[in-house]
Amino acid sequence: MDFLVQAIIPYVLLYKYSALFVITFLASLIVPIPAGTLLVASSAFASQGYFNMTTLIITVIIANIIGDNLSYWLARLYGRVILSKVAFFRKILASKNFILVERSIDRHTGPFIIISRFEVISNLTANIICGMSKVSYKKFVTYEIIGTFANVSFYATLGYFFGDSWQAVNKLIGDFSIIFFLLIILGVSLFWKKITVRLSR
Amino acid sequence: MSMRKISFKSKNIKIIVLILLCFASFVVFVSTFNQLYREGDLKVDYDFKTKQKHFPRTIDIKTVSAWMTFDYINVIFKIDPNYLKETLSINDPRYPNIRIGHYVKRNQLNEATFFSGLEQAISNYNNNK
Repeated sequence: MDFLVQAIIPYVLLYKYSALFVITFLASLIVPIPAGTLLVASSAFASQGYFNMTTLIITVIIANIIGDNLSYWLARLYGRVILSKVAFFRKILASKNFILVERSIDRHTGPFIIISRFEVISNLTANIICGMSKVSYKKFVTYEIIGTFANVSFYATLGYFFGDSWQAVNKLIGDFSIIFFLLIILGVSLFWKKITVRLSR
Repeated sequence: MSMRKISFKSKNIKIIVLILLCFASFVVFVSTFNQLYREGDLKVDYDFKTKQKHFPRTIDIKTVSAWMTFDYINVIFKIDPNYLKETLSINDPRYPNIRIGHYVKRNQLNEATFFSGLEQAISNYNNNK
C-alpha cells in the first residue's frame, strides 16, 4: 500500500492517462504491480474531478487488453523455448502435474481466465500458461475481454463510490486478497491427490 | 475397513479445516470493514435511499500529503492555479506538476511548516470565495 502511494500514484497524478496506460500495460504484461488497487485510487480521483471517468476506463481497458495479448503471444511463441533452457523449469514443463494443469485449463478456460483477471500475479501466470499451453487464441481473447471488463468495472465502481476512502478500500482488498490467495493454495494442496485423479481420467 | 475409516476421517478433517478458514477470513473481512466504517475511514458518498450522489467530491484539508501534486490540490480544492504559487512564493518552473514532498525536499524546506502554511492557504482561499 505504501509502495503504491509513494512510488506509483505520484506518477499517475503527474502524467495522468499516459502513466495509467503504461503502468496498467506493464502490470498485465510482466511486472506484478497492483493495478487493481491503482484503479481504485484513480477512480477515486475521478470522483473528485481530477480525471474523466470515461477516459480513465477506456485507457485502462485498452492497456489491459494489449498487455494481456502481448503476454499471451510472447509466451506462446517463446515461452517453452526460453523456459526449457533452465533445468528447473524444464523439469516442471515435463512433469505430469504440469500436463494435468494444462488439461484442466483447456477444460475450464473461461472461469480460469476471468477469475485470474482480479489478482495481478494470477493474471500474469494465467496469460503465460495459456500462451504456453497454446489455448485457442479466439477462446483466450474472448474470455480475456470479458474478464477485463468485469475487473475494470469492479475496481472502478469501488473507487468511484468510496471516493476519498480509497486507501481504506485498498487496505481491505489487499488483506482479503492475500487471505483468498492463501485459501486457494491451501485448498488445492489439501485436495491435490483428488484433483490429479479427476484430471487424469 | 480401518484404512477406509482413516481416509474418510482425514478427508472430513480437510473439509472442516477449509470451512473454518473460510469462515474465519469472512469474519476478519467483516470486522475490518466494520472497524474502518466506525472510525470513519470508509464511507460511501452516495445515498442509496434518495439515489443521490455528491460528486465531484472534495477532500478534507488535513489529508493533504507529500505524494500529492500541486495540480491535484488545485483541482480538488478548486483553487486558482496561480493562487498557491503566489501565496507560498513557489518559484519552481515545474509548478503545478510537481509532487509536494519533492518540492519540499528540493528546496530544503521544513515539512511541517510548509504543510501548515499550505493548509492555511487552502482554508483562506475557501473562506474568501
